[in-house]
Amino acid sequence: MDVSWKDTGGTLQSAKGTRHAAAWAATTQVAPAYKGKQRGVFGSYLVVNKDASVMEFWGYKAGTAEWALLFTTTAVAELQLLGSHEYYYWPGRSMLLARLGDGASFRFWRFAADFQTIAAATNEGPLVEKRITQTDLALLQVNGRIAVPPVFWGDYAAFYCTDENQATLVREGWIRIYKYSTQMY
Amino acid sequence: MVSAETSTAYAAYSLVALGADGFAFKEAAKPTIYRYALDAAYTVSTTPELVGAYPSTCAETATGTSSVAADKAACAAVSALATPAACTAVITAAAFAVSGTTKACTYVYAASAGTTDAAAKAAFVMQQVSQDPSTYVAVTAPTLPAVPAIYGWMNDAAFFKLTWDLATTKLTATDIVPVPAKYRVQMSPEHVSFAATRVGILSPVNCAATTPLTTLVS
Repeated sequence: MDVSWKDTGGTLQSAKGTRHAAAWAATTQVAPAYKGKQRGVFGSYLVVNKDASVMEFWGYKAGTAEWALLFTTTAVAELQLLGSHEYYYWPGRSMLLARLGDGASFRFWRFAADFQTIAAATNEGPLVEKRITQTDLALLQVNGRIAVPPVFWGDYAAFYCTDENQATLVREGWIRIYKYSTQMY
Repeated sequence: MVSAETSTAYAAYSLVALGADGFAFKEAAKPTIYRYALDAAYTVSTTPELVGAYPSTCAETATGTSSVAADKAACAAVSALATPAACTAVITAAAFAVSGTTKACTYVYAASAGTTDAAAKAAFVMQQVSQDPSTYVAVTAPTLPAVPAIYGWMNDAAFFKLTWDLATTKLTATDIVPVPAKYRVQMSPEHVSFAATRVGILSPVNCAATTPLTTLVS
């Protein structure tokens, strides 16, 4: 088992030596450096990763040409974002899909026409049913590499994914069509 | 499942929604378009007729108060489709000169955007207008949600507006928009986005100030 630590001088060490420790550090996510590297765009909104666990929603303020930070999600340790641009808007369900760090799951955030009103509210009590972050939402799992942005229509979502066929060991593509279910909650 | 992966040109794959009739999918560099119906088995069917079979017409569309006399007259002069190139020229000229954004003609002719031979069909790409949270209208059954408009192109000369018809299983070009020569760049799928009223094309530029480069960057 590899164990890494910093010695009293602050030098990273590991059970396999200093060089191994340096390599371990080089491949370990040590600082959030995601901001500005994403392009989750839909309508007049843009989603970026502030870091591995926090999203920022930017957009044009309603009725104006002012580009502004509209909402910042709350970090939840168990929900690590992938750090890519895999954000998709599911209009029929008024939801934003953000792919998580496991590479297969999407988590939902509520995103509807009244997003800016909800985002600007300081007292969430009366708006609890409309909160953007609904922690009771479950996950949608879409395995494989999503080759093209999915398309949505009403309760349906279609994904084109590629993955290796375990039977033939050939990389193949699949169309996966999902229908929204209340069991997703 | 579709056929085995043979191309890494993922962005050239087409995936669009046909509403209650399912989803249309086309692989890169292959002419066949598949439709996945929203039935119990999500039945897949091939509809090669989706590419091609565009009607060739040059019709006068701007009439009454929306027309501009000069454009209308020019359109009428070529409406017999005797000279397809002239028809395209009228539309392009009308979009920039007399009538502004109002076109005097609607010219639907696949050859004006390339050819409908096998290579052009294989290069055909479809894209769909992206949805906007601010304008999306939620509906409840039995009302069905609207299907965003579908566009496509075969090369950098023009793009089509497509209309799907289940009875004939065809995607038919109902309008064509030539890309003006001065804006004409390679329309790579990953560089083209259609919105409700506008299309954005990310164009390559050569930023070298002093030394000519042979490689363009986006």
